[in-house]
Amino acid sequence: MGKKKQKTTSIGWVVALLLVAFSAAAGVTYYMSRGVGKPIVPNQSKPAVVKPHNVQPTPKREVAIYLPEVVHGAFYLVPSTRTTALEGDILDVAMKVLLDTTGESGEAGKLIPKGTELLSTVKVNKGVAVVNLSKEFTDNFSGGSTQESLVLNSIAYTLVDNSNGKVKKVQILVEGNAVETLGGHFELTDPMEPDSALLKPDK
Amino acid sequence: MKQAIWASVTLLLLLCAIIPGARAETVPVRVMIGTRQAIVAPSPVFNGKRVLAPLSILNSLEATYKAAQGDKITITSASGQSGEVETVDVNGTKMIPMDGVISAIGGDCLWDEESNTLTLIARVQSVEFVDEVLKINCSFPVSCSVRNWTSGNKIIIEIPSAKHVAEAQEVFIGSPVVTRARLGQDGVARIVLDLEKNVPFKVLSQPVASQIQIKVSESLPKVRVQVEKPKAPADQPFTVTGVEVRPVRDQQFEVVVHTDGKGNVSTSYGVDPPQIVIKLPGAILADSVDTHNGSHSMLKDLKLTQESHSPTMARLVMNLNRVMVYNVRVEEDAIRVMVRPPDGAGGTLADKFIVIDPGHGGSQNGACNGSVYEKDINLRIAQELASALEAEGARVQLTRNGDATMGLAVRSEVAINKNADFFISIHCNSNGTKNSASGIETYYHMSEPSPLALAYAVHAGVCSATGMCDRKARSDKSLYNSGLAVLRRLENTGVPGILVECGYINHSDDRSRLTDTRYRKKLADGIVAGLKAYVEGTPIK
Repeated sequence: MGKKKQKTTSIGWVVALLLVAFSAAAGVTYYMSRGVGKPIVPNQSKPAVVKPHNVQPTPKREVAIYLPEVVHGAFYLVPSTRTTALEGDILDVAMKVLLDTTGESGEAGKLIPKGTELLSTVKVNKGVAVVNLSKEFTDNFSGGSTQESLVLNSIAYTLVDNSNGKVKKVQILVEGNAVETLGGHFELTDPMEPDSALLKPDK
Repeated sequence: MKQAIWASVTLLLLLCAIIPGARAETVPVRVMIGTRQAIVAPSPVFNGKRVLAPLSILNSLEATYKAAQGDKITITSASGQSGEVETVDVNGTKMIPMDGVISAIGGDCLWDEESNTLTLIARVQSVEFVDEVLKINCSFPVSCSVRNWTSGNKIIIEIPSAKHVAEAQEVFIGSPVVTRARLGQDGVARIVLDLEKNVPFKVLSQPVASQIQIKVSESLPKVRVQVEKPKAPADQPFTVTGVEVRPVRDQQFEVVVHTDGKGNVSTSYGVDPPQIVIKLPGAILADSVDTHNGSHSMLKDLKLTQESHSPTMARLVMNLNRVMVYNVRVEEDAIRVMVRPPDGAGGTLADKFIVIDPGHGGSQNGACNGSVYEKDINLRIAQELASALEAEGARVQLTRNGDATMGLAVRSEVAINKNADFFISIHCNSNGTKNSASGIETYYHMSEPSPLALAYAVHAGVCSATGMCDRKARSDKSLYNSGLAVLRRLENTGVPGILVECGYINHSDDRSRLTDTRYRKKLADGIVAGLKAYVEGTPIK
C-alpha cells in the first residue's frame, strides 16, 4: 500500500515539472517573438543598377551662370547657359565657370574680381551653400554698392539655380574665414539669399 | 500527490495570467505605398516582429508571384527585379512579410510606431530617353509632378515618395532636344531635364505608374510657358459713400474713406510737393459722396475723383503742407489712412544732431578710378556737408574725420549711442563698365516710413541742387536681400538713416563733378534743403 502511494506521488511530481517546463518555454517563445517592438525593415538593399540604355559618358555639361546686363541705365542679372568639359560636382563646376568669366568682353567680364579662385569644393548643409574663395575676391574688388550687389547676387543665383533646389542661401568665405563685407556696403557674416529685384523681368 | 498536482495547476494558471497568450498576437497596421494607402483584405498585421500583408498587396505594387520551394514564392516587379519570400500563415490567410517584398523588388520601408504605419518608398531604378519619350522606371507605382522651369529651358519631374540609387547623378542624353537628365534627392526624387530649347512635353503614363513616361517633342502642340506669378485677385467692385477727415492730434489726422464693402488700395508718395495719392481700383463713387467732411492744418486739400470707369478706378489725392508719413488700413466698410509727421520732424534744423558717415576709409578704398578713390571723395563731401549743417546751427559728428579704417557696425553705433536725430552715409557708386551709368541714388532701409520720407526729401534736394540724373530714392532691398549694413543696424532705433550715392566714380562726367569743390558744395546744400523740408516743413525748391 505504502509502495503504491510512493509511485503515485512520483508521477504527480513528473507531471507538475513537465507542466512548469512547458509553460516556461511558451512564455520565453512568446517574448522572443515580440522582438523590440519594431518590424524588420530591409537593410539598404544593394543599389539597383541604373540602366541608361542610350547613355554614353558625359563629354560636356551645361551650367547656368548669372551675369549683369545694363538696360537703359538699370542693372539686372540674366541667366547665361555655358557648356563646359569640367568634371566634378555641378556646384563647383558652375562656380568655376562663373569665376572664369573675368576678362570676357562687356559688363559680364568685369563682374568677378580678377584672380578670384574657388579654394575648396562647395559644401551644402541644410540649404546653405558654403563657398570658399581666395583673397583676390576682396583684395581686387573696387566697385560701388551696385557692383557689390551684382557680384554677390550673381554667385548666389548661380549656386541656387544649379543645385536642383538644394541651395536656398549662400555663405561666402574668403581664405576659409567669414568676412564682414566684400566692398563695404553689405554684410557677409550671415548666409545671403539672392534678391529677386535684380533679375531682369520678363517682357 | 494531490498537493503536487494543485501546485502545478496553480503555477500554470499564474503563467497564463502573466502571458496573455500562448502564441504571438497580431495587430492590424496600415501600409502606405508612397502617399497612397494599400487597400487589401484582410488588413495587414504586425506580429511583433514583421509587418505581414496578404498576397493581394502585390497587385497594388504591380508585382507578380509564382510558387517556389516549400512555403516560398518568387516575386517579380514590373521592372523585372525579383526575389524569394517565405509566406506565413496568419489566422488561416497566407501572408508575406513586407520587408522581404521590398528587398525583392527594391525600395525602402519606413515604420512609424505611433501610427502603426509602414510606408514603402520606391526606388528609381533607371532613367532613359528613347524615341522622344523619357522613361523613369520605378520599383513600384508612384505619382509624380511635372513642370517647366520658368527661367530656363528645363523640365522638372518630382516623385514625392521615391529615392534615387545615388544622391546625385547626371545622365547624358544628347538628343536634339534634351541634353541631359540630372538626378537629385531632396526630400523627393527629382529629375531635371536640360533642354536645348523650349520644347513642349506631355505626360503619357497614368497618374500612378511604375514607369513614368513623358514625351518631349517639338511635334507636340506648343504650350506657352507662363511665368508662375500669384494671380492678383480681381478688383472687387465697391462703392465709396463718403470721405471724412478726423483730427487725431495737432499734427496728426486720419482720412476715412467709407465704403460698402472691403476695398482695394495702392499708394504713391511725393515730397516735392508733399503728397499722398491713394488709388482705389474697383471703386465707384456714389452720387452723393461728400469729400468736404472735416479738415486739418497739415492737409492743404483733398480731392476724390473717378479716374476711370473701365477699369473702374477712383483716386484720392491729399496735398499736404509738409513732408508727412502714412499708413493704410483696409477694413470691411472703410479705408483708413493715418497721416503724421515723420520721426525727428519738428522744430528747426538748428535743434538737431546729425551723424555723417563718409563711406569706406583707411585700407578700404571703396570704388576707384586711377588715382581717384571713393574714400577721399566721401570724406570731402561729408566735411562740406558738416560745414553746411553747422552754418544752419545743427550739431554734427563725422564717423571718421580722416583716413581711418572702420567696420560697418561701428558707424551706425555712433548715431545710436549718441542719440543722433539723423544718420547720413555718403558714398559714390561704380559699376563694371565705364561711362555706362550716371547720377544719384538715395537709399532707405526696406520700407520703413520715416527713412523713406527722409530719403525722398534729401534725394529731391540733391537732384534739384545739382541737376544730376535722378536715379530715384530706393529701398536698399532692391540691392541686397537684407539691405545696406549701416542702415540695417538702425532698424527699430528711432534714428532715421539714409545712404546717398552721390555719383558714379567710373563715369567721366560724374567723376569730374565729384572731384570739383563747387559740385560738392551743391550736394551739401541739396542735402541740407532736404533735411530742412523733412524737419521744418519748408519747400525743397
